[in-house]
This record gives sequence, C-alpha cells and structure tokens, in this order.
Amino acid sequence: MTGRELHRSAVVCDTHQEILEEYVYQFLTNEEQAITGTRHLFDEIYLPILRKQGVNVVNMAVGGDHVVQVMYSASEYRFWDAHKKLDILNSELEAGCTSFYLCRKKDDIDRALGEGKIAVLATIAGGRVLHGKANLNLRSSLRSLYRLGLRGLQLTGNSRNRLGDGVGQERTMGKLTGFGAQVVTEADRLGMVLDTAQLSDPGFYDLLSLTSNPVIDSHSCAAGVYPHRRNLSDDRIRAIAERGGVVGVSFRAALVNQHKETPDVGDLLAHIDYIVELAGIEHVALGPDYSAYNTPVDRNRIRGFGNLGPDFCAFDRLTPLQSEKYPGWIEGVWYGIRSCDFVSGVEEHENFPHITEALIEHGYSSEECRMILGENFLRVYRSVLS
Amino acid sequence: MTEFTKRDKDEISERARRLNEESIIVDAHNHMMFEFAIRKALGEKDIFDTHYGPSLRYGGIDVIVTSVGGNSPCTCNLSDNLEFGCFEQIDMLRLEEQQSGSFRICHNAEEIEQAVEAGKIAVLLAFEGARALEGRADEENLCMLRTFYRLGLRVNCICGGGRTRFGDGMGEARADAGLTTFGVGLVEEMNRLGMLADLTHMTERTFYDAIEVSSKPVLVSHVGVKSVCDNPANLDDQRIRKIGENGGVIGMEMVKTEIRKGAHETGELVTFKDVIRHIDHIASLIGIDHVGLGLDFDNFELVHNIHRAMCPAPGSIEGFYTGIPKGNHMLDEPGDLSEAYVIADYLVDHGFSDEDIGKILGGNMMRLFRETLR
Repeated sequence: MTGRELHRSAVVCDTHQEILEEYVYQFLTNEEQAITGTRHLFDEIYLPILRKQGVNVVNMAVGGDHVVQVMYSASEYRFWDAHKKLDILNSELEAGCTSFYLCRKKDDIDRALGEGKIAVLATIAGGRVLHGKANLNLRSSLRSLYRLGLRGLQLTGNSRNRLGDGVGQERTMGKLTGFGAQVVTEADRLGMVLDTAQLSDPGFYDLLSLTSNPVIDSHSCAAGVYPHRRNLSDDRIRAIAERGGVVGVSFRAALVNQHKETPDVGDLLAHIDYIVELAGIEHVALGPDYSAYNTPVDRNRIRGFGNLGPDFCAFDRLTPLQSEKYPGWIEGVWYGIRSCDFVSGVEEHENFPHITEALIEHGYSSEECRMILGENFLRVYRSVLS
Repeated sequence: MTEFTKRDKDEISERARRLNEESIIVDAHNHMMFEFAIRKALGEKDIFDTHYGPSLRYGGIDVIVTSVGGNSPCTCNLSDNLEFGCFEQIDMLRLEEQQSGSFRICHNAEEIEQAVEAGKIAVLLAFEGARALEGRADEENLCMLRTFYRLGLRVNCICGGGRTRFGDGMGEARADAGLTTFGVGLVEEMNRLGMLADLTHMTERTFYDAIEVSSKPVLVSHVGVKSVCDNPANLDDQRIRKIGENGGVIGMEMVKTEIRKGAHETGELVTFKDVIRHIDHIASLIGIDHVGLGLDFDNFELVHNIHRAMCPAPGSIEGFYTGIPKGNHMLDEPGDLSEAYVIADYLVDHGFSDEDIGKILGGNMMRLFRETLR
C-alpha cells in the first residue's frame, strides 16, 4: 500500500490544532446565516482544509493561555473566549451542520468515523481559560466548559497560570497549585484527557502523582534529539509511556531543530524514531500544532482582516498579533524567526499527508503507521472519556 | 479570665505619655480604605475627619501605611477589575486630602517629617498583594508598577494569600515555587524607583528569593513570631535572622490568632503584653532595631461580612485558613487605633529604655523609609 493510500484508509488524528481564526472570523461576520443554518461555515472553511490534511479526528484547542488564542476577542478574558468558540461549534451543529461531531463520549468518536465525519475533540491549550474572579478559584469554570463539550485539558502554556507553571518558568519550577490539583481531580471525575504539553517538569510529575489515567503530551518533541526547552526529557517520555499515554510529535521547526532554518521531514523522523525506540511504538502520535498564523499561506491572508471592526475589536488589535511585539518569543520561550515555522515538506495542512509516505519510506510497516497516525491517540481518549 | 479595665489616655504613665508625644508613631499596616470606600459609596462626606483622623489622633499615631489595593476585590473598592478599583481608591483619598487638610499623602521620609511637623497625619499608599500590577496576561511589563508609583504608591506587599504572576502567597505553598522572573524584575524595579518591598504573606521560597533579590532593606509589615505563636503566617527564626541581615523591619500584628495561639477560641484576653513576647524574641535574635508596628486594624463590624462573602470557605483567604474568631479578632488592648496610646505604656512597664521604645513606636520604620523611599 502506498503512503497516500494508507493515509486515506487509516484513522488519522491531529493531536493538537488550534481552531482556525478564519473560521472564527467568518462565523462572527456571518452569524445570522450560521445560526439559522443557511450557511454552514465549518463546511465552507474548515472542512476543505481538514480533508486536504486527511484527518478524521482533530484535537482542537478552543482557547488557551497564549494571546493568539484570544485573537478575535480583543479581550484578556479567556474564559469568555473559550465559551464563544465552543458556542460556534455547538451553534453550527444545532443549525444542521453534519460534517463533524463535537465528541462528548467515546462512542461519538466511533460514530463520526463510521459515518465519515470529522470527529472534533475540544481542548484548551492552557488553564488561564479556567480563571474566574481574581481571587477566587472555582472548579465551576471547568464543569461549565465540560458541559459545552470540552474533553481535553492542557494545564499550562509556557508561562504561569493559577493551575501551575509552564516550561518558561525556569526560575520557579513550581508544581501544581492547590487549584491545579483540584482541577486535575475534577477532570478525572468528569472524564477529560489531561494534556501535559508545556507543563514544567515539577508540574508534570506532580500531575502524574494525582491521576492514574493515561495522559497525553499533545505537541512536543524529544529533548534527546534536540534540546529545546519545550521538548521532553527521556524520563518524561518514559513516564508518559508507562501510563499508557502518548506523545504527539510537534512539527514546529523550533522544536524539531532550532539550529536549522528549515528542518526537513528527516529531522522530524529522528524524533519519532527516538520516542519509538525509548518508549515503544504504542506511545507516539502526531501533533503538528498548525494554527492560522503559523502556516505561510494563512499568515499572508490574515494580515488582510486583522480587524473585525469596532463592534468586535478594539483598535489596538488592528495588527494581527500581540505576539508580534515580541517576534520569535512565546511567553518567555524562544522559537526563533524563520520564513516557515514548520518542518519543510509538511509545513501546512495541505501537505500533512506526506508524513505517511515518509514513515513508509523510512521503513515503518502499515500497521505501525496506523498506530502513529491515530490508533495510539484514540486508545487514550477511549479509555478516559465516558 | 482576669478582670480587665481599659485605661483612658490620661491614665497611662507619665513616661509613656511623654514618649507618645516625643515619638513619630508609625503604623505600617492600616486598612482604613476597606471601610472608607464603603462609606464613600454610601454617600458620606468628610470621612477621614469624621472617623479616622480623630481616632488616629487620639491613639497618637502620626504615620499610617494604608492599603489602597490588593489581590482581591475587597481591597480594591469591591471591583473585580482590580486595577480600576485601585485607581478609584487612590483618587478618592487624594480628593479627600485636598478637602480635609488634616492628612497628607507622602512619598518619602522627608515629606513624612514635614507633615508631622505641620501637625498632619502622614499617609503612605500601599498595596497588599500586587495582582493589580500584573498587567496584560501575556506580557511581563512593569508599566503598571511605574504608573502606580507615579500616583503615589510607595509600599508594595507583593503577595497576598494566593498566587500572582510575581510569586506565591502562603496559601499556595503546594506549588513550592519561588519568585518568578517577572517577580525578580518587579523587586529590582521597586528598588530602583524607591518603593518599599513588603514581604508579608510569602511562601518559604518566595520570601527567600525576594530578600536575596532586593538590594534594599525590606519590610514585613504585619506579622508575629512562629516560636511564640504557632500560626502559619508567622515568621520562623530563620526568616527573622534573614530580615536582620537585610536591615529590614518587622511590624507587629494585632490580630489575636497571630499573637496567642488558641485565644480566639477560648476567649482569653490578649493584649499588647502578649505582643511584647514576640518583640523580645525578635530582639534576642537580631536586635531591637528591626521591630516596629503594623497594627492591621480593620473595621470588624463592617468588614467581617465582606471577608465571608469573598472567600470560597469562610475564614480562609485564597487557600490560606485564618480561622473565624469568636467575636472580635483583634487584640483586647489596644482594641482599635484610638487605643494605640497604650502601646508605649506596655513597653514602659516591660522595662524598655526610652530609646528602644522610640525605635519600636516608629523610629525603626522611619529609618527604613529613609533608606528606601524616593
């Protein structure tokens, strides 16, 4: 079977993708049509991209710690912003959009796969989304988002929040806070998948001591191959594997090899090989981390509509990215400035299928490819979701 | 319980009265804004001159370091938008200053001395918890610190009970994290600007990080001693020694639970006599030059309900359990600011020299202000 055929026939999961900002933009500007179902914007904007990417399951961040996640809110208030994005997905479904499911139970994933629909798993890329009142940490924010369909929870971004410290907080190296520990326990009770990407080492081991569920790291690489601060130590990879978890290998050039201007698929395979060798093939998945701003195509397109107008957006957000004030940095961690932020050859949704061809050429069997492409990741969601 | 009669101002010893007259008495932790803001919202006028001026004068207090903001809405004019609540409180106090004429908002030791000389109460603006200085969530930008400095903020207690992006308060001990890089920047900038760092409420690691980073002496504005009263908020000997090395000053707290263990349950009397056990302990470790007063009087009747409404569990502040006292949680004597004149009498009774009493009442704090404020 060729790589292309395999990619088409296998269950393919993208373990970390941030919701496309263009989708948010189109929804907000065509809200009447979207909520009445005269147009299904998911089908117009998202579906073609996901079909080209050839994925069946997307672990989709509907919010997070970093400023790109609140791009169209012009607000620091991430709790509200995540509700807005979950509202968009729910509204489209309620208005008759049939091309995806927002999966709430493990059966929903199988139903989506059986019917040839996209299985969307909603997650957040950082716990600032759960911040409520300034001095009051309540788990109600988690439950509220859960009821709207959130099923994944990445605890931190690179910096600090009220749940714990990310890898950028090198000085403190804090464990989880009291609130962070409560949230982990509550997520377990509800049946949500915990994602340790970007979490500091002390926070990671602390989290493992609080849960007995398998955990995922949705978008990181191996520090043993390239020692970026975001990458995982051997011990951390082994710990995830021992729990039955998975590491979604990131396609970000900075994590794959920051020394190269354009790392290629060979450099990416080195990380996959390393984790397979260290932890076993059952614990590897693919978490490219594509988002609207990071692919060259989108970046050019987005410059044109950075502003939704005064109804939505304060004028200080006319420029596309707050983070452009600190080019190359994401909350204290250096990623560098390069012409393309992703591994060349698989740098955007459209040429993502090349990874399967590369895996086959590299010598992985069809069965092994299927595990990496989706089965490993689904194993975790099937064991944790109700 | 022994019989206890309060003494009026003219019933204390001659020597204590003279010391009260001669000394600049400093309260390094005052909470008048809790109640001030509520009275303001209720439409009262001349609030300082009606309520606080008279009681500060009667108590003999010349200088107050008053919180105009903090980590929670209850210290920020009940606003969830903390920065805005702080701006409002500073504004209302500055308007009051123009209109009242009986107090002066000061920015350094010289201004304090001039105000006291002119017969006015000197007020330093402070935060209790620096959350309002965090700024935008994605940036580590100190523009809010400099902004509030320009508006008069001169004492910054970096931590409250919980976590901020600068460091963790004692309610967040679980995380075992110290000062963040942002927190290091904050302390360095405070040193540069001439703003006093108050290290009350910090976790172990945050405290030692902050005192290492600070190039200036620090304040721990309202606290007791752990070996005298085992309360998690109180300072252990190691921290006290560190403050001694740093040249800092410790302000003695008037909250019962931090002064005598269990007394708030049994209803035993707790007076400044109990506080002197704390003072003696500090003096035996690092000398009398590091002791002052941080009375922490709030208005129990008005404020207690706010505390309860604010907290996820009554009696705790952001994960840190302070306990719900039976009845008044402050000392029996002095029981409020207007009774502060008895402090000198207790110190006289205990046999301190005039010089040491002057230092405790305010001399040490004034030295600290001279060394840090600009």
